[in-house]
Formats: sequence, C-alpha cells, structure tokens
Amino acid sequence: MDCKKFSRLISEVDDFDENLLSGQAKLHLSKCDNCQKELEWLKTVQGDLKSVALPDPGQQFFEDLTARVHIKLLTGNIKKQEATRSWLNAAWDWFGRPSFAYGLSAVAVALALVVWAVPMQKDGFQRFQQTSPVTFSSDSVAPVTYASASISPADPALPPALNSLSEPELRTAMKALIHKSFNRDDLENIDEPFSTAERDTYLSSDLNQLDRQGLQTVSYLLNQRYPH
Amino acid sequence: MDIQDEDFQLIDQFLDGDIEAFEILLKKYREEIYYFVLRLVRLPQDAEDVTQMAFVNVFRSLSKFKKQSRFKTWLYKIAFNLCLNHLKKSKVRETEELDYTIASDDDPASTVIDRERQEQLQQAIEELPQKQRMTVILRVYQDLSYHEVSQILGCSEGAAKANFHFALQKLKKKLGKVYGL
Repeated sequence: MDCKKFSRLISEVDDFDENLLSGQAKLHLSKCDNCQKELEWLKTVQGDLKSVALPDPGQQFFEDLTARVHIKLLTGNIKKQEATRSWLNAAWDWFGRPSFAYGLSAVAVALALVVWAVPMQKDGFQRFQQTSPVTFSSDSVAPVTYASASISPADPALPPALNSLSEPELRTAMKALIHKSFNRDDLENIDEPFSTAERDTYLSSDLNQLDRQGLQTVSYLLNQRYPH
Repeated sequence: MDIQDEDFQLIDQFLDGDIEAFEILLKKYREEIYYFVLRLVRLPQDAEDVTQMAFVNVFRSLSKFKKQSRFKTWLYKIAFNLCLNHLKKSKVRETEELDYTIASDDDPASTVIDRERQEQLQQAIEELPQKQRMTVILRVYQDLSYHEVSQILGCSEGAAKANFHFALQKLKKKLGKVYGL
C-alpha cells in the first residue's frame, strides 16, 4: 500500500479511527512517518472543526420558530382564500359596469326561469349542500368565507381521527384557523407573514382562547382540504 | 425502538390525524436543522426563514414520504434543497461571514494560537468548492454517514467520499504550515 491509497482510506473511516482500517492499512501506518503525521493532523483538524460552535439563539428562539411554522401553515391557506376573493372582486368590478348591468339582469331572469321550470333533483341538492360556501363571522370580525368547503364529517378523504369529529366541531376547527390561538405577543413579534389587515383580524378576534390542539387540528384539516 | 422506527411511528400517527406527532418531530429536529441551514446560508434571519419553510414543506408532503430512507435524511434533503434555492436567489450573501464561537481552554497563550488557527481553518472551509464544503458540513458538523450524505446531496456514496477526501487534501495544502506539517 502506498501513502496516496492510505490517505484515501483514512478519510473514509468514521472519526479517522485507525482501528477501523484494514490490516494492510494498519501495517502501512505502523511503518510510515508521513501517514502517521497525516493521521494526527486529520484528528487535530476534526477536533478544531468540532470545537467551533455557532451561537446559541436560546430556547425561546426555537419556540418562536415552531410558532412561525404553525403560522405559515395557517396563513398559506388564508392567502389562498384571499386570492380567490380578489379574483371574484375583480370579476364583480368588471361585470358591475353599466354596460353589462342590463345584459346581466336579462341573463339572470332567463336563468331564474329555467331553474323554476326544471325541478331540482334530490341528490343534486344534497351535493350542493355539501359544497356550499362556509361563512364564519363574529361580533368583531368581518365574515370570512371558505368557498366550496365541504365539511361533511364522513368525508372519506379525512383521516379517521378527524372523521370522528362532528360537523359543529369541524366548523369550530375551521373557525379556529381564522381566529387561532397565538397570543398578541406572538403575533407582534412576527413581521413577515402578516399584512396589517390580517394581523388586525387575528388580534381583534374574541376566539383567542382556543387551545393549541384546536389550532393544530385545524391547521391539519385545512391543509388536507386546500393542499398547495 | 430505534430512532428510525420511532420517527416512522410518529409519521404514521400524523397521517392518521394525530397532529401532536408532527409537533414531536418538529421539536426533535428543529435545532439540528436550523444549525445545518445556518452553516449553509450564513445569516441567522435567512436560516430561520429556510428552516421554517423546510418544516412547512415537510408537513405538506409527509404523506408522500415513502420511508425508503430515514426521516432525518429526507428532512435534511428538503432543507438542503431550500438552502440551494435560497443561495441561488441571494448570491451576494455568499460573502457573508458566519458568526461563530470557539471553545477555549484555560491557557490564554494557547487560546490565542488556537483561535488564529481555527479562524484560518474556518476561512479555508468557506473557500472550498460548494459540494466539498457541503460534504464537510454534513460529515463533520452534522455527523452523518457517507450513505446519508450521498442521499442528501443526490450523488453516489463514492462521490461523497471523494468530495470529502479532496476537501481534506485542499485543507491540508492550505493549512499544512499552520498545523506544522
């Protein structure tokens, strides 16, 4: 064995532990001063590298990091809903122009006549009920609508644990997503994910008492429902 | 139960709807991943953002995890890819120096020498080609096996070994005199 091969072999061994080398490599090491020096150097370098520590940001930093993960999961969904709403608003502005108002009214009347003339089938009505928009509101917060949110507790797409929740519990869970359980300090220390309006919505909520489990359930639920 | 089985069990619990299981995984790995990311992106604020994003991505794609590797390796790979994207977007920040502390012993004279030597070592590591630097970080700081390093970097085990070997050769060339070789 030559020094070059030994150098390659020793770099592959965990912690440059010569005891883990093959017999041939050990034999070479016992006879070669250069390789003994190289091994010593490798161990010193490794020791130096491991003695270099990054600053410890403290336990609270990691708690905040965890909170930020929750918030990111949360706001991702809300932003998606807001994007849908802004699209609807834009569409509404466009169709709201006077030139379209009369035409739109005529179409609406025609549609109303068709709906009146064709009896609604029972199963179709049930489907409509299951996918109708879900709106939440409280005394202090403007209504928030999740478009086409199916909240049937018997949804086969839901994990068993969530399927055991009743419909009111699922509604509460979704509500908690909006009003969630982080306190004021948490929110004020986090700049990035919140617009002022979003932050005000959270802070004015009267449902901040919801527990962590509620928030986590909701977070999971909505991510299942509105995957990115 | 070993760590891998424990992680897989937590993943199964999470996929069955137990959110607390995700919380346990998050708390278990958040520090390790943060320090790994910090070593790559260098700025604490960026490291915080990337770490946060890594766990969000894990949450969203845990159902796609095939359990063909350790969860930890998969998590590192997600964080590593986010770091690469981040570094591509903010190339100017590659010149940032990492703020680190060096453990010192009681002898002030040897501390000064050690500090100088370690600073030169850090500098030399910063100057390594990217894949070699990543391999050194994963091998030495994160204590991962060559198999895990290869999975994270998306290369063969042989390539990971070669990268580490060449990194050491470069360090030796640059720092040989400093270490009295």
